[in-house]
Amino acid sequence: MSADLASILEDSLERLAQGETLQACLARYPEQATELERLLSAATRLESAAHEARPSTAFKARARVQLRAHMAVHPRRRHRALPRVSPIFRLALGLTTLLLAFTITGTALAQSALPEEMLYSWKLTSEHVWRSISPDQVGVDLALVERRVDEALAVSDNSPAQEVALQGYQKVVTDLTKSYDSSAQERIQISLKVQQEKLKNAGVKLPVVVDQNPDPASVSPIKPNLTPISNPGDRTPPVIIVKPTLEIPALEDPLH
Amino acid sequence: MRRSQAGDADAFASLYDAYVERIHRYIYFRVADDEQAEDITSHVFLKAWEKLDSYQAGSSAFIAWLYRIAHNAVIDDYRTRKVTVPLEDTRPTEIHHQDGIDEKLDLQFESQQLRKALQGLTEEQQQVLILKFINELSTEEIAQQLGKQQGAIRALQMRALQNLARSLGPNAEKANER
Repeated sequence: MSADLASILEDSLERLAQGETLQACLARYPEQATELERLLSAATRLESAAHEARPSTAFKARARVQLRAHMAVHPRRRHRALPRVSPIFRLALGLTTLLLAFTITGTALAQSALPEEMLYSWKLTSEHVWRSISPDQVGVDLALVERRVDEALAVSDNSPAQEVALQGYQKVVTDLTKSYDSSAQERIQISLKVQQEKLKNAGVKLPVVVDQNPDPASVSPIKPNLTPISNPGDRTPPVIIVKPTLEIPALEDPLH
Repeated sequence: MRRSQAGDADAFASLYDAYVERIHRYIYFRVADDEQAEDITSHVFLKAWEKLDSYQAGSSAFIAWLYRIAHNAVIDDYRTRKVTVPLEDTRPTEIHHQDGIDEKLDLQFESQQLRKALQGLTEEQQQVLILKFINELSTEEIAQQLGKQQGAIRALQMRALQNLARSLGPNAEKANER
């Protein structure tokens, strides 16, 4: 009953607001007409009194002056409003941050990866980036040689993985011996000698590497005085075999 | 709004001009006299200026935020005024015009009667009736303002009008005769 009357009252108030007469509203609900009339009359009295609640012009002016004075005494700290950022931009920013964090973390983890491990190719890619942005490329290449040697030693019980590491080693050595001028060679030779000793002490033998795309400009006749690796008793690493017209870099001992 | 929040007094004065009448109407029937209504109305805007940082544009309409400040101000005022003044003893509203003085006095008497009757209602019933019939909000807007379902507002409205009609007595039909 109460719920019904509440809905009937709401409906009647809407009809009155739309211009329907009180009598017409009451005629719609004859059973509730008496109670409805009391409620609608009270509502109408309230609506009629609304204009009495209008503040005087004098009060509005006085309160405005008071507000102005208050604002002057208590100024709000002016701060540059932060630009409103759309949800899409926030999402993009969040994803970018996440991606950046993932890349940094992944790259850091990849640095300890060994050949045939999941993150090893990530490690090589990061080394490419490192090499391309570093001002000391010789230094980077020498560090890479050391890395490849360490990898080869770390996977000594896994021949395919060791082969990958040694091929990487030889590629860097080739780059080192082909790409840098004589001023850098002394530094290169010292470092390579150390790595050779490490491999030698570990009994690691370097595989045969064939350069499939030799640069004709850098090719020179094979020098006859190279040490062959086919000698079964000779474990002298690392000798780079280049077929058939590539120059084989001779690793001279600069201390001699 | 943003200019006001950044500290622009001129911008906030414009907001005051736009909303002062609605806030005054909201407060008027909930307090004993005009002077009290004016004091609280002024206080609402001073408070709004101080708390403007807490208003988040978009979450609700600025007027809804002001209504909340006004409601709290009325409650605070009611609590802090230890001595209540009977409505019969309050200062009569100042009459500014000499023309139609009888009609004006009649309206003021009617207004005082309504005030007295409204203040006999519960807080929620007062809010619903004032927001609906004085401030002309829809049932949906009142529901949002008070954080209730529309059905609950309709029920509150009915009970409030029943109580109001009872308080007003036979005078309830007076408005319809006009």
